Amino acid sequence: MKICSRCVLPETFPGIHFDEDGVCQYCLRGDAIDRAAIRRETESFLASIRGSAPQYDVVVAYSGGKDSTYALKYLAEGFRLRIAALTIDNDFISETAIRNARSVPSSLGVDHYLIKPTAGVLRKTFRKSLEEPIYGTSALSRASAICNSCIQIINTQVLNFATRYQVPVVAGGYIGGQIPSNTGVMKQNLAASRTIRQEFLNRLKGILPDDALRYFVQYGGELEEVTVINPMTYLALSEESIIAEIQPLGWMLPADTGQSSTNCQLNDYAIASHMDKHHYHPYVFETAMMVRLGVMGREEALGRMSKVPCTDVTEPIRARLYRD
Amino acid sequence: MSTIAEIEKVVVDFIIDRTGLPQEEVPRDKNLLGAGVLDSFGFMEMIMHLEQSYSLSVPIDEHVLENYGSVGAIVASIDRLLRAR
Repeated sequence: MKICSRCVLPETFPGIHFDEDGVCQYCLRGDAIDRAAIRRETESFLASIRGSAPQYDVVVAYSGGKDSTYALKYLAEGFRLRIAALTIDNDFISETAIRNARSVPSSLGVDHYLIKPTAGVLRKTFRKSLEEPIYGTSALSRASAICNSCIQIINTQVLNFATRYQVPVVAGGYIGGQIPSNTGVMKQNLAASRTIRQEFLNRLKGILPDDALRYFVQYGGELEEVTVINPMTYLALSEESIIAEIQPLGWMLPADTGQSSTNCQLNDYAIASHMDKHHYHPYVFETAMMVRLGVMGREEALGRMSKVPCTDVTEPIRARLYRD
Repeated sequence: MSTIAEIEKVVVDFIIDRTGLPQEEVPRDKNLLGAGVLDSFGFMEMIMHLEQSYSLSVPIDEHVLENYGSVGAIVASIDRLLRAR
């Protein structure tokens, strides 16, 4: 298979094209993003917001994984903000990750909220995500269908939390490549967001049962907009340095979440299904960006992208996903 | 004042930049979300990009599905807001 000679994007990746030297358009365009400027802008913004809202300055979408843990630490220690960390337990979160999600916020002086949607309803949602054409090429080029559903639920619940508690800033642990933009401080109009979610919800009707649809409903309130920040997009750290920084907080690396996740046991099955159907790794876009940024070597990245989780690993997960 | 063609170019250039699609494959009459051209992140980002490009703040009652139905609908909506300014 043809793979970009500089990063790791394969010829099966949607919309890819190569020049005569086998370099993809993303590498040719280069990393035009001024991460230092984005960092300055975001940090100046963060320094200005403490105490501006009734209860919390920021709500962090907190999975308990390494990236959102680092983002939480960065915000809590660097800016002394009043933070709520919100975890959505999709019923496949490793016990170690749940322990991390409970212990790290506490050690950082952050309030922690955990939402656990009904497990059977989520399993149904994830199965339908695999079986029905819910997601288009754009969404699937950055994450598997299962992960897209999970992300949609998380984002909706975080926005609903922000609306309920009048929290003006929403933060996540997304890294470059997981989201379309690397913008630092991004204003999000909640009416626009509700409309877009409504369109998505309309597509889900008839596919998902009503008891699943409710997790995708963004409701209205007095809050008109939130500012979205994703510090990991400009911090651009290696996995090793992230883990070294968060372990002193009591964070432990789960041993049961497969090769690409530090919190979710469903992830390997989601990857295998995606690769089987679309013939590229759902993490390849973000991994290619890590190569371009120099936080991961190309050889290591190629090795990771060539690994398809084997049936021995995925079959027990599949059985659990389809058990009712 | 930007012309319809100029606004369309801003929208289409944004989509090309985010998706890698060749210009001729950017659908002008399809629902960008429904056709999977943009995901919800990308769509939100496009709205913010248009607001910044034209120094606009799209009013709450303009955030309706009809205005987001296609490239043509988005362009018409921005054009209307610019004319009303």
